[in-house]
This record gives sequence, C-alpha cells and structure tokens, in this order.
Amino acid sequence: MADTSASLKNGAPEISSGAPVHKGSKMANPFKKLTAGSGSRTEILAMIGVGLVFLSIWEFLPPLLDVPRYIIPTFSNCLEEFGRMMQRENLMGHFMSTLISALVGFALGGLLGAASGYLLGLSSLWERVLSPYILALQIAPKVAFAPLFIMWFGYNAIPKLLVTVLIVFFPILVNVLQSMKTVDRDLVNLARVYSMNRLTIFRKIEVPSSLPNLFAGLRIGATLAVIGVTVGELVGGNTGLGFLISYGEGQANTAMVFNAIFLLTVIGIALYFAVAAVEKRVLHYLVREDH
Amino acid sequence: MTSSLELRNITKVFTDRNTGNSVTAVEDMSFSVGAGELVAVVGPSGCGKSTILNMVSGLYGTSSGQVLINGDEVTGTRPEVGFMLQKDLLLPWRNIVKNVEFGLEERKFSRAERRERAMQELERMKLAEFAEHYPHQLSGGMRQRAALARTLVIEPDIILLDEPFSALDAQTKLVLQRHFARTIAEAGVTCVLITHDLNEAVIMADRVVVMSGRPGTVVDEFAIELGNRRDPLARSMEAQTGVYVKRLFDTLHLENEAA
Ligand SMILES: Nc1ncnc2c1ncn2[C@@H]1O[C@H](COP(=O)(O)OP(=O)(O)OP(=O)(O)O)[C@@H](O)[C@H]1O
Ligand SMILES: [Mg+2]
Repeated sequence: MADTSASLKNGAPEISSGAPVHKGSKMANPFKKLTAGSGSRTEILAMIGVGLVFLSIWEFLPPLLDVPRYIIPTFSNCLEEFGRMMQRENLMGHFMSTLISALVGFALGGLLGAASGYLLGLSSLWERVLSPYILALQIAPKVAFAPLFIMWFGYNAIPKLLVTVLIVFFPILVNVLQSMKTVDRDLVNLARVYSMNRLTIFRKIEVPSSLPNLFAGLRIGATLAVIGVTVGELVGGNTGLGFLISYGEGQANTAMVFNAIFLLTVIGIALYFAVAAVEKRVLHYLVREDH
Repeated sequence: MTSSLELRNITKVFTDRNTGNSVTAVEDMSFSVGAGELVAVVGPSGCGKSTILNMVSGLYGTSSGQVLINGDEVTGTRPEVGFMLQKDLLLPWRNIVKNVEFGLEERKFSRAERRERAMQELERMKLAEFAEHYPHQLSGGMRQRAALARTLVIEPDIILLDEPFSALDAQTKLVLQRHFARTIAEAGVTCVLITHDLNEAVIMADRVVVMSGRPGTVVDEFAIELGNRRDPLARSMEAQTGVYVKRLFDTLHLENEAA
C-alpha cells in the first residue's frame, strides 16, 4: 500500500508525493481526457470548434454530395425526427425502459459479481475449483445468449435484463477476486496480531483494500450494461431504444436509428459518470495522477 | 507490566508449496530479552530476521524449539505484543486518529475512550494536529510516528520492530531514532529491534545479537555499555560506539567470507 519513501522536508507535511498509486486506474479511462482537459481556454475553444465543424459538415456535406436521407440523415433531419419520435413514438417511454433496464441490470450484475468475487476470494479452494469455468464464461460472448433467453423466457423484460446482468457480472467478479488475492499480507498480519478474527479482517482490511478494484469493475460494468440492454432489445422485444433501432431499420428511418444510438450513448455516459462520481467520494483518500 | 522474551533452540523450515523444496530459514537459534530491555538483531539479508519476529508475534509457529513470553509458550498472537515494520501499514482509507484506534478496536473500550487514548498517544508523538489527516498527506517520518502511536496505544509489554527506519532519509532517521528511543524507554516496554544499520543497532540497543547468513543462527551477542539509551545521538558521538560497530562489521564480514 502506501510507500514510505516520502521524506520530511523542513518538518512540513508533504501533500502529494509518495502517494499510493490508484490501483484501479491501471486500465485506461476512456473519459479521462474529457474531464481532465479543462486546462486552457484555447483547448476548450478548440474542442467546441471541432464539434461545430463536425456538425456543419454533417449538416451540409451529404446534401451537397446528393447522399439520400435514408443513408445519412442530416443533423436537422435528426432533430426533426427526434421531435416526431417524442410525439408519435413515445420516445420518452422507450428511453425510460432502456434506462431502467440498464440500471436494474447493472445493479443486480454488480451486486452478484461483487458478492461472488468476495466469496471466492475468501475460499481459495473454491476459487481454484471454479476458475476454469469462470474463465470460460468470461470469454464466452455474453450477448450471444440473448436469443437463448428469449426462447426460454419469451418476449418480455427478462431476457434483456439477464443479458445485462450476465455481461456486467464478470468484469466485476474478476476485479474483486483479483483484489482479494492481492491484499497486502502484512496488513492482514497486522490485524491478526491485534487478535482480529477472519470476519473482522474481511470487513476492516480486505473489503476496503478491494474498493479501488471494485470501482474499476463497476466502471467497466456501467458501459457494458448499456450494451447488454441494447442487444437484448435488438434481438427481441417491443420496447426500448434497442427496439427503436431495429424498428427504424425496418422502415429505412435512419434518423430514428441515429437518435436511438445517440440516446444509448447518453445513458452509457450518465451511468459511467455516476459511478465515477460515487467512486471519487468513496475513494477520496487516494491521490490520483489526474485531477 | 513488562515482560521478558526467550527464544529456545528455534528452527524454522519453509516448504515451497509449488516445488516442494524446503528452506531452512533459521536453525537452532537461541537468545533472550530481559524485561524492559532493547535488543537489536543484525544479520545479512535473508538470514531469517523477519521470520523470527513473525514467530515471536505468533503469526506462525516454529518448526522446532519454543518462544517463551514470561515463561509461557507462544502458540498464537497475543494482545500484549505490538509489531511494526519498515512499511508503516497505515490503512489509507482511515485518517490518522482512526488508524491509531485500529489496535484498540478488539479491546473493550467505548468509542469515546478509544478516541481519548488515541489522541493522547498522538499528542505524545506530536501528531495531534494531524489527527484528521489521511496517511498520504503525511511525510514518511510522520507516518512512521503514527505507526508507533498505533503500536504503543494498546500498551504492549513487548514491541517488535522490523527495520522501522530503513525507508527514511538520513535526517528523518536521526530524528525518529531519538524519538523512538525516548518513547520506548518511557513506556518501559521490552523491545526487539531488527536492523541492517550497524550504527543504529549500537546506538539504540542494550544488547546486540548477530546472526549468520541463512540458515540464521546466533554468531555473536554482546552488551552495549554506553548508558543513556534515551539519547542515541549522544551515544553516536562516543568513541566506544565505533569500537562496537567495528566488532559487528568484522563479525558479519567474516561470516560473509565463510559463506
Ligand atoms: N512464508 C515463507 N515461505 C517460504 N520461504 C520463506 C517464507 N518467509 C521467509 N522465507 C525464506 O526464509 C528466509 C528468511 O527470510 P526473512 O524474511 O526472515 O529474512 P530477513 O532476515 O528478514 O531478510 P531481510 O533482511 O532482507 O529483511 C528467506 O530465504 C526467505 O526466502
Ligand atoms: Mg526482513
């Protein structure tokens, strides 16, 4: 954990060097640049500029090249379709259905994944016995289970929820298990010297030590949850943004597909940032390289 | 309140779980520490110094031989033993005062009592104003002082120090050695100090035990007759200190050549 290499300089506390490296941040954070880039004014202006250039190319280039609307609808086509979908297609209802499924699936998958990770972490025997199966299931493409679940449970909310739970489950399980295996033995020994029992050590040492990894898993799970729900809705069902994508495809309504993809992205980003915000509060004691 | 410690013909053999090879870390090792005494243990890297501390603290048993505290055989961890490593082992998710309280949480104290004792200890370590800080906000020396506070707050009879100063820079080390020497002497606890630093062994200890390379065993043992253990800095100025350091140096050096 904390490295003791920092030194006392003029008796003043050193605020940030020699800090523990945020374990969970080993994996790339896809949104880091977005949040950390608030450096200079010119950068922000350039960012906005790029967005505007993109929007105007999108708006004016396809008509200039005579690209038909059903191949690439322009930005204004999409906005127009967005309004129509709000009024005629119950867009809000579909959006909420997808959002709720993603949230519920994420919560269930996260809970089950974390619980299994901790249980396996407590029992090295079971971990060894089950590890080949966990590896196999982890590699199996979870979204491919969607049609199976529809055959089993029918055209309702259960299949998409199951796909979501399944897809969220593994990265969280693996992250938690990994952290349980790498808990600092010396911290555990310290607790043992203080006569703490197994359960207390789990509660006071192992769980807190594993939190950075748990949150790394949750962040991955947040983005995967949206994929799980989308696939579930694409394959079968009559609600949700995934359904709107296949519905729009059937009608050659490309603007509808664009809008659905956009809203799915919004849900993914919101979920990701919600997890990141909770993480920042819970893991406030970690010094990060990014600010 | 103080306890004596005795190691009697201790041997520890580790068996590698994967290869099945066994390694004898320490062999037929005996020495004792009187009540209130501070004994330094020096020896080459890998000779089993940390292994000895783990057996004394009851984290694992010996392969043969016995560890006795006040004549009782050690069979598991005990509440009267405190332990401190080169790593401060402060919990990064707890602030300093809660870290100090950690050791008290298995004792029958109320929350308020725990806080009071922890604050008293921090006061003594001159860390009271950092009670609400988190470990990463403190320097290495302060963190090590906080770790000492956590070790002493349980009022141990015996404390085991495994190279507590070796990760610190030279200046901090001097300050902390003096601070530790004073605090430990005032608390009157029995202490085993493991160190690589021969000078540190001489200026801090009442007695020094020298170990051979692996398998570790005692090759020399002598009292440091410098007096005034509370002031290692003053001790280090004395001419006799050099003589003791030379003796340690020679003993260890000869050992290396034989190996
Ligand atoms: N749990 C263990 N399993 C197997 N071998 C071990 C174990 N603990 C220690 N050893 C071996 O025992 C020997 C002594 O280790 P120990 O950590 O006690 O040495 P040390 O004197 O403290 O070394 P250093 O000065 O580098 O801290 C080493 O060879 C080490 O590899
Ligand atoms: Mg050691």
